[in-house]
Amino acid sequence: MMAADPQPMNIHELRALIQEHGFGHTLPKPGKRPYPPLPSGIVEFDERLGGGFPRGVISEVTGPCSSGRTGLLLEALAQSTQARELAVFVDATDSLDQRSAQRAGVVLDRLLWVRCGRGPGSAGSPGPRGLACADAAWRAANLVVSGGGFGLVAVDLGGLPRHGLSAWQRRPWLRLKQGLEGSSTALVVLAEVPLAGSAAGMVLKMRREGTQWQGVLGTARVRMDVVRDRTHGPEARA
Amino acid sequence: MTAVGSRRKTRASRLHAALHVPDFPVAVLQAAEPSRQPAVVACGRSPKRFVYSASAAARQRGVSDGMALTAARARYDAAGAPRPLRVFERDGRAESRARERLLDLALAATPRFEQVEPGLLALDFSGLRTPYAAAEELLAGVSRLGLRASVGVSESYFVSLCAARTRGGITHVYPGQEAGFLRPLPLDMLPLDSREAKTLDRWGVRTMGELAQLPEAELVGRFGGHLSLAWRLARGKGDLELRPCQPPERLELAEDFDWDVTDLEQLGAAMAGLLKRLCQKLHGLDRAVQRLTTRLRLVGGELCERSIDLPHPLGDARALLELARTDLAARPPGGAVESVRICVQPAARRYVQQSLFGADLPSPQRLAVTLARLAGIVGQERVGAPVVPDTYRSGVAALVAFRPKSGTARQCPGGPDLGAAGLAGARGARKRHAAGVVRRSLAFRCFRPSRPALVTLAAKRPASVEARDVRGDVTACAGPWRVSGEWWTADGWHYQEWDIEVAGRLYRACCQPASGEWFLAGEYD
Repeated sequence: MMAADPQPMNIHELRALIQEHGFGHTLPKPGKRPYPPLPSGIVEFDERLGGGFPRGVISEVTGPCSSGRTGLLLEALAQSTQARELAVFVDATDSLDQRSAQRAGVVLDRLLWVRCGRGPGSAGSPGPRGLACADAAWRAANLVVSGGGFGLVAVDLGGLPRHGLSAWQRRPWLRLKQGLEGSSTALVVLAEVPLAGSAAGMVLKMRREGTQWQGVLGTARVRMDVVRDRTHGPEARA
Repeated sequence: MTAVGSRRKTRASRLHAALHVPDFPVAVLQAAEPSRQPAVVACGRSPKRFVYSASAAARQRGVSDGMALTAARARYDAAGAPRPLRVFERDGRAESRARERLLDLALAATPRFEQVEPGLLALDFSGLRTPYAAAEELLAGVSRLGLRASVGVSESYFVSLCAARTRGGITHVYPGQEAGFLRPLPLDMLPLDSREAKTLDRWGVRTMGELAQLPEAELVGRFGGHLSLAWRLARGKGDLELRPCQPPERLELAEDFDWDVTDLEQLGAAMAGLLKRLCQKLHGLDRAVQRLTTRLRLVGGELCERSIDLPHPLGDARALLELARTDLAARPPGGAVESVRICVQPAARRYVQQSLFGADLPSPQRLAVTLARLAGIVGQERVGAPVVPDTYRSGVAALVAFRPKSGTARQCPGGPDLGAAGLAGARGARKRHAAGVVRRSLAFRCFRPSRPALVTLAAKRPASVEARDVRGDVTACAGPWRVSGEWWTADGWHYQEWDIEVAGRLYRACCQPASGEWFLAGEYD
């Protein structure tokens, strides 16, 4: 877990930290990932994911609406911002609910919210609705990834119309993947269907198996399946 | 360089320099039109025009400051001067420009300086490794402006001022030689009021040396404690305090184009020069840019102004130029540009220490550029840190400028430390939790704008819904919850909220009781 600045108390701890981070080696140790994964904030899921969302790769959280995708994303944002990282929420459809984010534990002043939904300024922009948002979201995501320094870049494409999603599918994902490689940024894309194809390092599928209605809308039983995990090597995939 | 005393004395812990441009108002105008002709600067309207400032040559022929211009001419002609007296009209703007240039030169030498009067600057040279080179550079800079100046260097602030005002070139008064240097100088250098000066003149005391020989107690008894300071200054013992200029609240630079600029590249090139100069100034003040404002005057007189608030103060001219260019590309001016004015609001520099073991954070420059580019994509008002709005009205989005503060976040809460444990633990855990099923509350997602809906009711409860992308029977629902707000204003609102399930999806539907209209405020996910 990337906790907030571990401070070594003595020379032995400092040596151990240097050893652990591999600063004493010219080449990285085989099998050692440079950055620990970003916890998703849900213990059961973290155990399933090998610690959380991997850094330096593209992860996709897919599933239909009301399957718990947004809740998972907000939990991950909370983990990242609470660890003093800066996080970005690229909001293709302008759907972030600040109260839900705060309730999930997101430190709001460390979260950069990019509202790509059509605002008053873009009301007259050409093209069908959703296409302009998808385009803006893609450009914004690329920009923050190339800028670097963010712990988590969350791209929310939930609610984007089909032609908007198709536009994302046609994008050069491999270039985005190359931009991410080796960085400490975890890129998590939320959408109804997988978009990144072979560029995605991890694809999760969310499903809601039931909802409690006890006079009010209660909790939901959420299931997460790992559809693809290329981050842990062949042993982990087995 | 003139040296008073010996250099063998101990190295000064404090060192002052003074830069003096004699007859500053005249010198500024003569710099524009070089001539050796005696000149005066006049102001006021005829017949009450008077001499504001006179050159040394004019003063030698009886002209003095404050004299009526007609009287000055008469006295000058009576002195039999070979060349006529040249009269300039006072130009406040030229003086102001020259003053600013002098301040820039001082700033390049040291961040601690004081403008004693127009054309006279006192500089703190303490700690400079090469004060003599700095003094020469100062003099060379003034010379490039077309002005003649003198520089005095001494440990004593007062002595350095006296040296600059009475000698030409660079004068260095070494420690221990102050009293000897001051001895022949007139009393008008000392901080005396007119009554004291008049009395001392009546006594025949005209130089600092003569004043220094008088007994201090007698002087204090006659004039009061104030003269004690003047007496000590005259003996080279006491000193005055340098009062450094406060950093300016804003800095501005402007450039007028000889032709109308329509190309953003050309505009960027002009702005690059201005930003470089501004950043040099700020560097001297140990300040950086907190807010960058660009004012463009378009052909036809229209003014186009844009501001960029930076999350961290930036002192890098290239990064600032990139920000300004990005902003211009996103919101190009509506026409050809006649002039550009850049105004910066300085702030203390912040130095960010990255952690070797902790999370990587973007550098201030990179973050500022990223934010500006994002603003170029989605609009300035749609990028920032979210804040919880002070209302429960549906769909309200509130943003503030993104200025992350270090150390404000809570500690990372406890969780499975699988990242450090590596893969082995994860593999073991996978066997234990093959399902990956949890029971959670769902998060809410807003529809902005909300989607108007047609809702049919059965037994006063929603039975079916039809809206954009949503159509079907309501299979489960909970509600209503009445929410209202701002009823004390004309913009008051009142809803009845329902949580509904349609086709396996969960929505929040709202009904406005007054109109009976329904809309979907968002979905649960």
